[in-house]
Amino acid sequence: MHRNFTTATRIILLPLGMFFVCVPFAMAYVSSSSNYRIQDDSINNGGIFSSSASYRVQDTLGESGVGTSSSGTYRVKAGYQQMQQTYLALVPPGNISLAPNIPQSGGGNADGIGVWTVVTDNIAGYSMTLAAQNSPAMQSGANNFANYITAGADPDFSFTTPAAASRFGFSPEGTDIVQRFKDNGAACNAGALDSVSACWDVLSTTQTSIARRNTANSPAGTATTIRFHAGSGASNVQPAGAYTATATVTVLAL
Amino acid sequence: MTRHRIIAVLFLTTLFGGGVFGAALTAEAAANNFTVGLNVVSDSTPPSTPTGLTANGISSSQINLSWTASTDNVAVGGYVVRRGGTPVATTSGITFSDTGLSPSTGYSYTVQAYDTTLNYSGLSSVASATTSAPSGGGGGGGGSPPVVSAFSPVNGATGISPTTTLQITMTQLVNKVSGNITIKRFSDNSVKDTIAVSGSQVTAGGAIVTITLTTPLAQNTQYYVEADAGTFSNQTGQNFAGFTGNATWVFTTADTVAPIISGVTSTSTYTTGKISFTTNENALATLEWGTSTAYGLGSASEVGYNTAHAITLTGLATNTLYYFRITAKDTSNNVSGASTGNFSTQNPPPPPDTTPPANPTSFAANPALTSIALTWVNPSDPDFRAVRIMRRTGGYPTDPSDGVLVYDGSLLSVTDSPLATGTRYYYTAFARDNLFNYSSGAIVNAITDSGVPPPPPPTPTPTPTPTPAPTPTPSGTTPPPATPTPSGTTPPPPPPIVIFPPITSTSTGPFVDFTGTGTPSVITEKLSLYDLIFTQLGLKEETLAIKNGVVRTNGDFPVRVSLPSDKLPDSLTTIAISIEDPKGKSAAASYLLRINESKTAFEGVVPAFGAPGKYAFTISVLDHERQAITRIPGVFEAFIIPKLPSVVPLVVQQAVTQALTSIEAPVNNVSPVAAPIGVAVGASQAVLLATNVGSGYDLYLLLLKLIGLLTGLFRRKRNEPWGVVYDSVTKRPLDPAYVIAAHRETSQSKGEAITDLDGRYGFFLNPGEYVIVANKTHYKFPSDKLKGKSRDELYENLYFGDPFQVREGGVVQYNIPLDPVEFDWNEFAKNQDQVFQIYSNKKNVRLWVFNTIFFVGLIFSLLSLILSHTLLNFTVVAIYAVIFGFQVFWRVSHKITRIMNKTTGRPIPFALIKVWLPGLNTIVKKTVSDQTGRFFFLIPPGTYYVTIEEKLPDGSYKEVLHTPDMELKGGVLKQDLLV
Repeated sequence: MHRNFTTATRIILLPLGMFFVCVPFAMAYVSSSSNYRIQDDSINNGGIFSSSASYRVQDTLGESGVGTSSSGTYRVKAGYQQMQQTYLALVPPGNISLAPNIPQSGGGNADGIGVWTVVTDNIAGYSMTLAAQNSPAMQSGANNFANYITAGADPDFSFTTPAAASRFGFSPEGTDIVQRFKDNGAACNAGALDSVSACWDVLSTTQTSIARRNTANSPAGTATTIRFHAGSGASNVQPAGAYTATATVTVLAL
Repeated sequence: MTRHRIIAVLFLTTLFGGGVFGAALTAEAAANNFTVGLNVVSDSTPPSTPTGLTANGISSSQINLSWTASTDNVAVGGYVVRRGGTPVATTSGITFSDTGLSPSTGYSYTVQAYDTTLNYSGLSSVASATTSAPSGGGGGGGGSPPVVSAFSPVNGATGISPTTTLQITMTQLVNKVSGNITIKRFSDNSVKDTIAVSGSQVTAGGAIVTITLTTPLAQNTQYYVEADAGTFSNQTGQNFAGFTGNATWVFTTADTVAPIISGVTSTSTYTTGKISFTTNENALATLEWGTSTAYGLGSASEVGYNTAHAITLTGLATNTLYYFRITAKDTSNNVSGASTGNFSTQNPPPPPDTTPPANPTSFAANPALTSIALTWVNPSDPDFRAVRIMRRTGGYPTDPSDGVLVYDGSLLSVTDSPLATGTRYYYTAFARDNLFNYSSGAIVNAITDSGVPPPPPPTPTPTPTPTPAPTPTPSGTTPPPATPTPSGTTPPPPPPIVIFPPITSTSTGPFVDFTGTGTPSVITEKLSLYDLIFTQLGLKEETLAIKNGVVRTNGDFPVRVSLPSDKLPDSLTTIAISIEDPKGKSAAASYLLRINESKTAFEGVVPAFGAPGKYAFTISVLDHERQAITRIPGVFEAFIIPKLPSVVPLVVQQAVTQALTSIEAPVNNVSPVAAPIGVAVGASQAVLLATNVGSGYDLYLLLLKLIGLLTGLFRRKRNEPWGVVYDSVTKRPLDPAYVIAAHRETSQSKGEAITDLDGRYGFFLNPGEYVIVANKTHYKFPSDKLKGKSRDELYENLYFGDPFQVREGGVVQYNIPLDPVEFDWNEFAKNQDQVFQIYSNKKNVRLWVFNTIFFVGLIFSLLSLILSHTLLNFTVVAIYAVIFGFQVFWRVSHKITRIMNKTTGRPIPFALIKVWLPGLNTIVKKTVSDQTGRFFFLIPPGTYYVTIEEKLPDGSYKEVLHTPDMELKGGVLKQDLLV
């Protein structure tokens, strides 16, 4: 029977088939553009994402008791769309070795960097914090490098080591670093520059916010470089040994 | 969607590969533990011994050394340079200039490295050199100090890299001495860099001094360089004089940084858009715009450098989304990245309301001795504000400022007093809206009582102009106090309007005191009803047709009556239309036609009639110069459109009303097809509005359901008045097949037929129980392949040899499938040649397509109903059910044809029916009617004629009917033959 279809019949059947088969599936695509991406089609409308410096609400119209609440000790998500999974990936650099070796006496400096790349499709972005497991951070048995001591409340623009002491600190760099680590060429927590090897802070056991972003960056992601520096003063005698600082970079989807 | 997310996660996981180890890949957080390691060494290991030491005599007092760097397990701290075994200097570099030597003297050098904990390496190999003679020099200047020969970059250079190395070429060989090289910013003389010549950033190689910057310079900035006196000296110890100020050595760094656009905002009106933004440096901005991100509509570029920018686009379309893209270029032609955005122009403001409300209706005057009670009904226009009644004694006030103000307000009656007795007063009632648009005016006049018996009534005139008698029944509302202005609000002054002369006539009608004795002008005399323009107001303005002096109008809406000015003489003219009420002339009303704002026509609005009927009207044209009056009679035929129930949405009601109005009152100057098109458009609007179609997809679903409904009407196959023997595999009809219908008990043959080219057979059977057998070579009966089925894809009512009952007698309509058992050349050739006359593959395909569409539409309709319980969805499903049920229980069955006596109505039994081929006069079929006159034959489709021979009592036959030629499309006769 099939081989007996005439050309006219095929002409009729082809558009009819396309009309009934193709159109519904084409309509089911999720909208997207270079500027935005809707993760799921939703019949419900009116829900919004809103945020400010001090709060963030994910709202869904027509439901009560929904949204995101958070405090220092808990984080709650409730309601339609609130359980929407976001993609968050952290690409770490591995362990870091400072170089060169620092001599036991006579003083010396050692540097090392690590790059952490965060990729997220969360439209509210992410935050990155850094904390040491121990205090002082850089230890070798009973010996240690003293944590860096800033001159004031803000990080020091330049790393300074007293002649008779040792210091260990860090400096973040990248497009998403928080204002505390930005500088104006001479001081930190001022201006909008991200000078290289500038704005040194103590690596403490308290979570220190180092980067924050309020938009998604998928798929390219954003790299944040953390520079570590250890210094021993010219008259300081630092016991020989393999010193280690264990720290944690934590990334939270906002 | 879940599948998409899984794919995305897999993709990203693959992308990052194993590098994500240590990171927690969760929805909300990720953490990475890491260590920072550092070794502090107890350094007892000396650096490696320097190698490659070379010594060159540069001048009579200097020898330059260079060597290869040492390595250390911690760090090299520096080098000790020994001349003849004696340390003469330490340096952290790998070069050294030993100066102050004696001319023409040989020296030997060794170098020793040390680390940061002062572990010393061994001595390098010895290198020797000899200083030159005192007078030889290396191009020295004799007794003069060194001076600058050239700068690099040259003085005044631009576009210099911020990391450039500076070079000074001296006229003599020089050595570093002490002092600084200072680099200052030209604009404010601030110090950018201070470099000590004694440091490693300054090297003196012969006559060339090279200066390395401490940090890169700023971009696009002008700098100048100063050198202290004594920073260098020649071989004889004469010092360089140095240079200061910003004129000796100036250069400008390159600008390679593009400007940055920020703070982009846009505002719009309905035809303009303004885009404002800033740049972080002076720049020229270029704006491109368009209705898509192709930005193809145009571009605008600034002509001056600024940091604050604002570009205004004009001539834009209203209510349109525009996209724009901004780029900025700085003075160094660095172009910024594009900043994009969009804005929408606004809807244009609605045009000002210049439409006045309708005239007041039922305007009546009831005179007394010194007063006249006026009553009226206000128009129903939503923006109606007040009625303004003006009075004159010599004729009707022609505009809202003509005459004496009697009343201005929204009440329904007023008593005008005090008035003179026995005097005729003319009143015009104008309705106005909030914007002081005045209606043309309703008019009425009355004579106050004179205190003497009234004169006999005037002789009626032959014209149909109605006489507006005073209304005997005043309004039920309490009349206001006997003051001309009972309204509490002070009316605003109306616009100045040209005052027409008073109108008087002794004739009947609204112009009772107008003499009307003059002869109308030729132009006025030619006026006819067809010179007037009647416009139906309401939902949509349409010009009404005039047919035989009758204007059909929707009684629910007003009618505007216009008489173009160019059809009137230049003399002063007053025009009014008087309308009779079919209930009686006492209810007549008159309205003025006033010149419109554009001075193109006299216009007046007749209020909605409110009830169906024929309303005679007269248009009176008064020529004041000629004292002539011309009357144009006509009739309004008002119809009322039935009101839809209130549950129907308003927009649907309006669309239906508009469509029905188009049918009831055809408009002028349009094609006859306009009304049907209007109805179709109106119905389409009603459907679209009722179904709330909001997108192309909604429209698609609606069309799908409607098409499905329509195809349902065609999807079922008609039951034809014959049976078909066909191939159970190919579904092709079979011929010739021999079909026998035998009585079940007696096995006596009651009908035999050979199928035609289309596999058809048919015979008429009397009541009884029968069995049919179909035979054809290469085929098997009954079919095993379809056994047990009552229908297949194309055929219904299948037969497999089972006995069947004929209760009332009829034509056998079974379709008999046969299974092919061997190859049949006849069927093969028939298929190739397409010889079928009835059987149609196209029809079968069409049937299949209709069935498919019907059921797809049914499924969508059911889903729509489940998701949305709307009246429309329910109706669609109900119609589906009706069609489906109708086709299940209803069969188009063949009517059994009979031979009847057309005078007695009785059947003619046992008549001989012969079917003839015209032209050839050849019999192609013979059959005999049964005792009730019923008969059946099946022949190939074509043109035939039929003869009927009635059986006479003696057994002979007599031809009683000879039909004309008939086209039998199906090869069967479908109507009775009447004799």
